[in-house]
Amino acid sequence: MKKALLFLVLAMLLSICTTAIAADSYTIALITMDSMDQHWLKVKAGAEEAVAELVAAGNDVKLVFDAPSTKVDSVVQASMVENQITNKADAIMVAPMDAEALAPAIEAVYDAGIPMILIDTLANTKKFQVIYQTDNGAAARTAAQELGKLLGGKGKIAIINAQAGSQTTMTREGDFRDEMAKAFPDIEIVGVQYCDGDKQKALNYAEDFMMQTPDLAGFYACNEGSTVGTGNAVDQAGKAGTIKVVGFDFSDEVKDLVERGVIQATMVQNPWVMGNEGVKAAWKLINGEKIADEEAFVVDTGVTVATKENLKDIK
Amino acid sequence: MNQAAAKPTMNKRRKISRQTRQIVSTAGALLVLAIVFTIANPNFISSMNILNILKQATPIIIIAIGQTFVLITSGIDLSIGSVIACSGIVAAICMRAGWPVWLSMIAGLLFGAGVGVLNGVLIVYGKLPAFIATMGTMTTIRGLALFLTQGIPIGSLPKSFTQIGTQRNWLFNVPNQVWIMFILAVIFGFVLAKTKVGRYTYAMGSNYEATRLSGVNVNQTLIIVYTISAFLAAWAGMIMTANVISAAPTAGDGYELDAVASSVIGGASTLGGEGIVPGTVLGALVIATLRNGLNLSGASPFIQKMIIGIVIIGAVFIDRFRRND
Repeated sequence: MKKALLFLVLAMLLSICTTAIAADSYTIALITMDSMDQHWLKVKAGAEEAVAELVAAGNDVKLVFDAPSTKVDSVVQASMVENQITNKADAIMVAPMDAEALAPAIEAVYDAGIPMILIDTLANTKKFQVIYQTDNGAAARTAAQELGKLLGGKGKIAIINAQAGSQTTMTREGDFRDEMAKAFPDIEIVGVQYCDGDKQKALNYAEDFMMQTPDLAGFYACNEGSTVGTGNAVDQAGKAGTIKVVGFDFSDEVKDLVERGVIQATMVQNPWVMGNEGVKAAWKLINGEKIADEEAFVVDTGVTVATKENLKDIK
Repeated sequence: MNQAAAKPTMNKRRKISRQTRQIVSTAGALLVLAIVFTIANPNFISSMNILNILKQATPIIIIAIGQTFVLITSGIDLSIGSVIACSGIVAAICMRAGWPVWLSMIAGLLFGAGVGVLNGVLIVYGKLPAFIATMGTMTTIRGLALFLTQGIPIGSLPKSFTQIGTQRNWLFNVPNQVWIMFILAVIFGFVLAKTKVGRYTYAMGSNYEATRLSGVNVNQTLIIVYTISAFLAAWAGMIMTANVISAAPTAGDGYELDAVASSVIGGASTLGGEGIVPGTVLGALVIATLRNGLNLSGASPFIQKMIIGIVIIGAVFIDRFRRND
């Protein structure tokens, strides 16, 4: 019994090894923060399409996708990056889940002469060729402009944010506040709550804000969960259209709320473009071309403001 | 044998007076909070806001009742949060597949109960500590939730389903979910206080060996207790899914700790043998009121977390202190 088991394990190991060796041609590795969030699935879809195009053009390229199964610690992700160096990937794309913890692994890739492309989030190092990311600050300023215009430049608003400890969501809050103060000084932000992306908590917080400030005119929600929870709270309070909601991110639920006129605008990132452009950049670097004159080049993949009018065109 | 029979009755008499005291003191705390928050913001005491608090407390109350059963046996159920997510997803998948709403809900609730049976079997026959068994199912069921949805929340649910959460009832304008919570609290309050299962639950938590030796089927009772906990978590899953019209694989993360906190504030002991449903309901209301009131008075969200933590420690500390007297 034990021998059979051992044999089975050996056979499995062997098959893994042979597939690794059989990978002649070119391998591009993509490592995201997790494999469950829609955001990363779109990054992956964009990358897959770029690879499909390269294959259709007669190149022998394949994409290897890896990600921690849930949002576990960044050590797991770092070891995934190191494994790809060992596997001799020809280019590596990483969305680092921790700017500090992933920096050594990213530097190791760069030092090994493998093209290093960052996706979505910066790490604490300059040793990479290019990053494709949403400029969250710019997106937050766009959100402030949208909400400011919807309210005609005056009124009280509240913010429902996701994580208090995350650089991304804090930038979305901070730059929104700065832009509001500058462009619409008559708009007062009465408070902020952090829902950890939990829709039920976002709903509760939004209800409490409406109770605390009966003349509340608008909400700004900083991610998908916050946006859905806030939208449902406004809808259930019968204030759809009266209280303006500007959100962040996109999903079937957000789409539904935009369609029904509960959410007036939402900032949609372009993860698909990140993955797609990332692979194209990887291919250029593999072939010895340059992306830009400087290393650590930043490309903002931008946001699309989704409203009732352009909803059909949003991917 | 005679001694063993005499002891529970004595315990029972003492317990009743302590239970009354527990209800009175938790209700008192609730009243003090209400007065303070009303002074801070008069909107707090409006009927609309009171309904909000009841609605916000509903999922926590429901899961806390189940956790109370488990805590009384001196166990713990960490899988509650994952069961919330996955039972909602099972129901949502059934609805999207065209099943009638009631049948989909039964599927979701049965799934939850099934996880409870699994927890019970792992603990009873697998001889695993409750902490480990339910931690294992917590992770496994969360993974299942993610796998079933491929990480993407399921939306576009039928309107008749979403109404179980949000629609306000003709009776006092109270949302349906609050009535559901009330009915579940009455049923399981009765089970714990008046039935054989309830008495065995207390007996096991007070003295497991003595209970087993006096011929009680402790294995069966433990499995029933964990099934009740997971079944109630599945109800919370139905309600939360209906509230936000979305079955998210990440829903309910960390709620098991809110359930423990509510039970403990309401007088349950993590050492077993103590706890009552009315106390737990009040305990959950204390936490919900604290959150809502602090929001309405505009307190910093960071300070709020600190205050809630301190209240949990304080409530248990005062209880211990009083008991030692």
